[in-house]
Amino acid sequence: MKKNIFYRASIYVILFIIMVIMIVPFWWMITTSFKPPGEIFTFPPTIIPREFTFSNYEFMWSSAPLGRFWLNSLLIASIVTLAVMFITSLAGFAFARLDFKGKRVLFYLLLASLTGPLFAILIPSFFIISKAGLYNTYFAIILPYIGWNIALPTLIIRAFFESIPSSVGDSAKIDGCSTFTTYRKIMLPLVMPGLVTVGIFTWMYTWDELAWAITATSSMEMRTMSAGITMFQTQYFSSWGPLCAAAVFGVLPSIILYIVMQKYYKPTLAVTGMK
Amino acid sequence: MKRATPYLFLFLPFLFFAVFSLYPLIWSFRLSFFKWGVITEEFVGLSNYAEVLGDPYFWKVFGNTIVYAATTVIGQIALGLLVAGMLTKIGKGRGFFSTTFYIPVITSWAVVAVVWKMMLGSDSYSFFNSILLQTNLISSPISWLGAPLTAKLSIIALCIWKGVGWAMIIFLAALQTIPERFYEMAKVDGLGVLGRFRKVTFPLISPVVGMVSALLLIGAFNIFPQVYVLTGGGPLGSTESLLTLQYREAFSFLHFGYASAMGYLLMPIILFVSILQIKAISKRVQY
Repeated sequence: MKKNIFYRASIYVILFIIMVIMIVPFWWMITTSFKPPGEIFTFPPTIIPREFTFSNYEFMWSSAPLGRFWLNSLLIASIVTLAVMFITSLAGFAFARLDFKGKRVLFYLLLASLTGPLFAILIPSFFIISKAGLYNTYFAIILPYIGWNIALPTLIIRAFFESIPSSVGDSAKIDGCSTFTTYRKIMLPLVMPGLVTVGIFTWMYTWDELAWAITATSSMEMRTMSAGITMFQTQYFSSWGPLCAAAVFGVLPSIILYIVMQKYYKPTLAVTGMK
Repeated sequence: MKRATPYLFLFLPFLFFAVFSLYPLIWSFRLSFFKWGVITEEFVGLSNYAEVLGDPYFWKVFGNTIVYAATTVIGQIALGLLVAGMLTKIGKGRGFFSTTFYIPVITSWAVVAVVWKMMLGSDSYSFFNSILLQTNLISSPISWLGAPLTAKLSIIALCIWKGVGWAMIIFLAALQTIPERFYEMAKVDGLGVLGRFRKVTFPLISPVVGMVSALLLIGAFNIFPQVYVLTGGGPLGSTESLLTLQYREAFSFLHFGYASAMGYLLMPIILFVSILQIKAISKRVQY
């Protein structure tokens, strides 16, 4: 059937306009990060910088702790992601492939925790971290982040373990594999896509989280990107150039990860397989 | 298999889960019945709950949340459906457009909010003002975050901008499962564009719409970074969200009991929405 050319063209025009709206804040951020202060504060603003400068990036890395925030986030996000991938794969395997007493109770406990008031958890966690003497350290951020990313990732990875046919586990048993060998050598490679999904989910959470990051740390050196840029902008609100340079670094890892891993970016609830 | 083996697998996950999720959940529930001082704590029964429910500021913030929920959920659902629908109509460029629309979703809230805050600046050279001034839509710069109405609108706009790509991706996947012959049959029956949407598309994707709405609704109750960064809850509490209020009560005023009680008061709402959502997921559409 021949489609009306005008109809199709108008769809493209509307989609293009929406695309511009979605992209414009990033365009503004990137161009501002390369503008000298004199050009940032002019009316009307320039769409492409008249004069390119790297001074905002130099300032971000040398004079301000903005670069440190970025490295902190990179470190914390990597550790939390790897830890969550490993830890929840253990739980996911146990729930999907093993039988044991209390399985249902433990499973429903995980499920129920998902509806708990997230913010109420912050207060006791703050006491726990302070009592353990970990306040204002990397551990103060890393350990709770792992703890808060057990329930949902376990549900996700469990669904992947469940989708493996039971014959795979049976033949491993006949070959004399121990339960742990079955998990590590046979099952784990088969749930790789699930692990990557969990990894991306956790990485995004860690990179994004703000409330706990500002609660658990006090010094500028310990701030994550989210916490640091939030604190920095309240003090130096007129430093648009360095703030934009930091923002470019703040979104860069997310966008690179997204482009490289695109096929794994699925909305999380679609993959828990809960019925 | 030794009997202990499953528990060895569960040891590490449940250690972290117990220390940082389960124990804090129980502790904060207990805390909601106590008045907390730095060294002392005093059992006060339900008075924290009574204090929250009797606080007019809490109800103002609750009202804000209802406004956020209504506008952002409807906005994201409607725009998400519209864009997803348009994407199914084009061949070339579908992947490109959906990838670009998804970029705001994957970037971090705090960073994006800081950028928006600069763009919403009250001076003539900040982004939104400069565009409106150049097109002569306004004659003098607007202090977007300085007045209650425009501040609220700014936050709503940011929420929709950041979230619409997420709804779109899910709707796009759902729309692509509808067989083309259904539309051809509907055309034979003489249904127009709107009729086809009402009789074919919507009934088939309504469980997905239900699920997305539930998740967006929970999201609206969890608005934090956008308000914390953009306005801090002001002006005059007009943009305050439940979480920014709870955060301030807990960590600025050390009203831990009050803040915990607030968290648990909201739990039935979240629970109710979650149940609706599970219902929506389990409802299968038969072709």
